[in-house]
Amino acid sequence: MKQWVRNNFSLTEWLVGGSVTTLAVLAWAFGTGSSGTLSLLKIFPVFGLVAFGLMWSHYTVGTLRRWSGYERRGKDTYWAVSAGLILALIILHPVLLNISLIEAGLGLPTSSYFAAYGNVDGWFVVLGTIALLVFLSFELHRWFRNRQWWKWVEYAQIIAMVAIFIHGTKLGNETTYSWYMVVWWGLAVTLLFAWVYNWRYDKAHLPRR
Amino acid sequence: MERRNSKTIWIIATVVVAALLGVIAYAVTMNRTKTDDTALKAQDNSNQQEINKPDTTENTKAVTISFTDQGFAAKSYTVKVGDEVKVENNSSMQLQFSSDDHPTHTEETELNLKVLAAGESVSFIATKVGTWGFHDHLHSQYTGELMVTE
Repeated sequence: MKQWVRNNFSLTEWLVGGSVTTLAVLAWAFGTGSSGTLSLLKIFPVFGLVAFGLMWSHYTVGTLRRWSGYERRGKDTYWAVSAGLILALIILHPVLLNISLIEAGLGLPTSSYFAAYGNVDGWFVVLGTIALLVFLSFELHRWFRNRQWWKWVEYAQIIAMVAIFIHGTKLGNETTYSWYMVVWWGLAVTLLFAWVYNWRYDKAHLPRR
Repeated sequence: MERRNSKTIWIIATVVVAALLGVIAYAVTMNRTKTDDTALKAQDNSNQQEINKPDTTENTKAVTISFTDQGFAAKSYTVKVGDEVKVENNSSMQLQFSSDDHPTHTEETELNLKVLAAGESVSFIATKVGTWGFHDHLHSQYTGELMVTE
């Protein structure tokens, strides 16, 4: 198994990312996407589901790379494509929601979140917005990844992933009321495992920053 | 080499973003046409419920939409224009019967009813022809549709 992953690492990456994306799209297509007329408010959840799945794949593929002992040579097309897609999706997810809330006359965020979702769930939308800002800060890695303090930005990504999981669990229908709930919690458990594995591996193999 | 890779990444990302923006532009246009008349009527429609009180002297039919702890009793209901629609909360929770989409409720504001406590019911008259999605705003996983015919 380990050798197969090492010999077919690129295929493994696409299989992991493709599977998690397909499951998210299917859950949406048979859930929110299947009822009534398609609109922005029905479309935007699938962007969040796919984005979370692809971000999950970045961590788990990293674990598979460490575990299999695969050493990368040349460019990583999967990382390039999925990173671009994640960036587009995490921007589009709130943009579509906000367009709909403005069109409905509920005003601008964050007051529109509370007007639409109520005083309790509105906070979970705000939590998602904070996580989005943390995810966007990762794009600064092109310039700052060699700085000593950059590790704190990476730790913040982990906290943001937890925040997004809570945001999705509280607000998403697919994540709570369909067969996808099993996948959703499966993603959380494997993500936790991946973080611990990656942290222990890097501590043992990488020089201290 | 690294510069070339970076260029590839940006090209891919640009294509993806452009494609998704195209989808949004299309969807926004679609949405705007549909909600042209109702875009600024997202607030609770309880005043209209008073105006649209069922007229029992007319020869109208009535359909009951029952809400239980498992959701709406049926996925789809059909009525004719002028028929009475009665929404009964037979669950143990509160019900806020609302028009799609969640959470703006702008598809057909006639369907936006006041919050019903367990055991309460409310009626309204269907006046607009179309197929209108509805859900419980407080538990948006529970959905259904109302078909209003001529």
